[in-house]
Amino acid sequence: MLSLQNIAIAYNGVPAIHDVSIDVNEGEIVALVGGNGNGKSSTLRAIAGLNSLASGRIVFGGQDITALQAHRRPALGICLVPEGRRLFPKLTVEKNLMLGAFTRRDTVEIAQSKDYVFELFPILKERRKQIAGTLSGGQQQMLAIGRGLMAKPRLLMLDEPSWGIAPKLVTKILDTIQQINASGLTILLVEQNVKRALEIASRGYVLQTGRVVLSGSGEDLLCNSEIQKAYLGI
Amino acid sequence: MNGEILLQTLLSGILIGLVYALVAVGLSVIYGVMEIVNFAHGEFLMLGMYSSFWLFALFALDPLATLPLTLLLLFGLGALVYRFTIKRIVNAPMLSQIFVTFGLMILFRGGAQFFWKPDFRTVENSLVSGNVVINGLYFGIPHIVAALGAVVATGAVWWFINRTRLGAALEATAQDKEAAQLMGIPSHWIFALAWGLGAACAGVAGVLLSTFFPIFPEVGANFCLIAFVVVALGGFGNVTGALWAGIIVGVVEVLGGFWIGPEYKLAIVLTLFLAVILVRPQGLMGRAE
Repeated sequence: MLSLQNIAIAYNGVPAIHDVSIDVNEGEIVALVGGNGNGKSSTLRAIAGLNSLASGRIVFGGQDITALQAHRRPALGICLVPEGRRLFPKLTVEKNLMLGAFTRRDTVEIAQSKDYVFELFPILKERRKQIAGTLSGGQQQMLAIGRGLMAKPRLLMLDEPSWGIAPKLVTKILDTIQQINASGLTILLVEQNVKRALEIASRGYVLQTGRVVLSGSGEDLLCNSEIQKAYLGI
Repeated sequence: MNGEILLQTLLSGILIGLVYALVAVGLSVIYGVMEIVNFAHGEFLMLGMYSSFWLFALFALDPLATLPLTLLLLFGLGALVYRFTIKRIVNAPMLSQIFVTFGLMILFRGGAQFFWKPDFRTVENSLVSGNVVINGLYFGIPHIVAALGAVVATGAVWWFINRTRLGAALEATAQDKEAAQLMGIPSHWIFALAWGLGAACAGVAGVLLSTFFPIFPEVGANFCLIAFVVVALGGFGNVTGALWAGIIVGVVEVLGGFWIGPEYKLAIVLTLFLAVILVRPQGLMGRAE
């Protein structure tokens, strides 16, 4: 479904990603793991079109989207729930959700998506008139994911969904991600919580200083001794 | 002093204040969406006035009748100004942005002087003229019509921003441009829309003023200055704040002119502005970030 072919990204001439190739197949949860500053977010931003490539290609659903502008990608089914959530803080929960569906026109289908989001996160329904910036961290993350789902994407990318939320909620959020995936949505996940991420992932890639240093099934990576030493403290 | 005169003065301050509010809303929309201060805003108002004047002088069309046309003309002009100048400096340092909008101000003002002469022009005997007496208080009908028109236009902008899908996209872009792109909202179209909307507000205010205010190339200067004061008082990017602040400025200006002397009108408004900046830098209605 998604294929990154030898992509490289540089910020002001300083390389951040070198020659990264990643594939995501329909229906998978793919996890990108690795410490801070190793290029995970840059990779997701490049797929969403917010970072341009120094070299390489991005192919989505058979179409080369390397040069496609960011705002044209959601209509293809690419959706990024960005790092730090990036909600519209002064707008209500409901308006944030409706903006998630900006590229869609069918009001009946949009209402169905909204019902689905409220089903996943009932608290959002309760708080739908509340200003997004006043929600708790966990609720904001739910809203960010909900806003992403409103686009009815084919590929949902999540950048650090457990960032800044209570540990109890991390489990709930990751469970929900699994649940969303089980309903047929393909997921590309960036997560600091390496153990939990690999537990729910079908496959994973380990990024280090802008390169893929390891890849394999979630289970294999969890058993890998280098990963255990570097990230799991075993 | 006479209570009737005070009431009369107060009400005429409110009437002109509503027009100030409309001019300020235009400035505020542009600033709110892209944090660029438009120094050429008064010139959009001036061009709105001239559009009204020429359609009247050449084709004998009444300003009220040509208002929709001027609205569209100024909307288009605002969008074109964005497309051909502002678009290139969206991410430039603030100083460059100031130079560009300042340059546009000089271009429009100079153009008006060159093509239309620096004479004072007036729209004579339009549909809205004369006075009306209500409970012993005199009001110019053009002033009343201008104030009503400004309220309707300001309300329309509020409705657009708060109640439509495109208005929500405008707000989303104002709050987080990148996140808005992730929703599929094209920033450059939204910026063009903000400039169109901003220019149209000033242009409509210009048409409303053209029935009772002299028209000349520098007419925008004072209105632009007052719009800055209104926006600063009302809080940037805040339509309802601009409405209240416009009324306050209009009333302060007229009452100050009445008590202290008309030649000090602007000085009084600017003193109010300085006082607010010192005490509440986020604006009277603005909230601290």
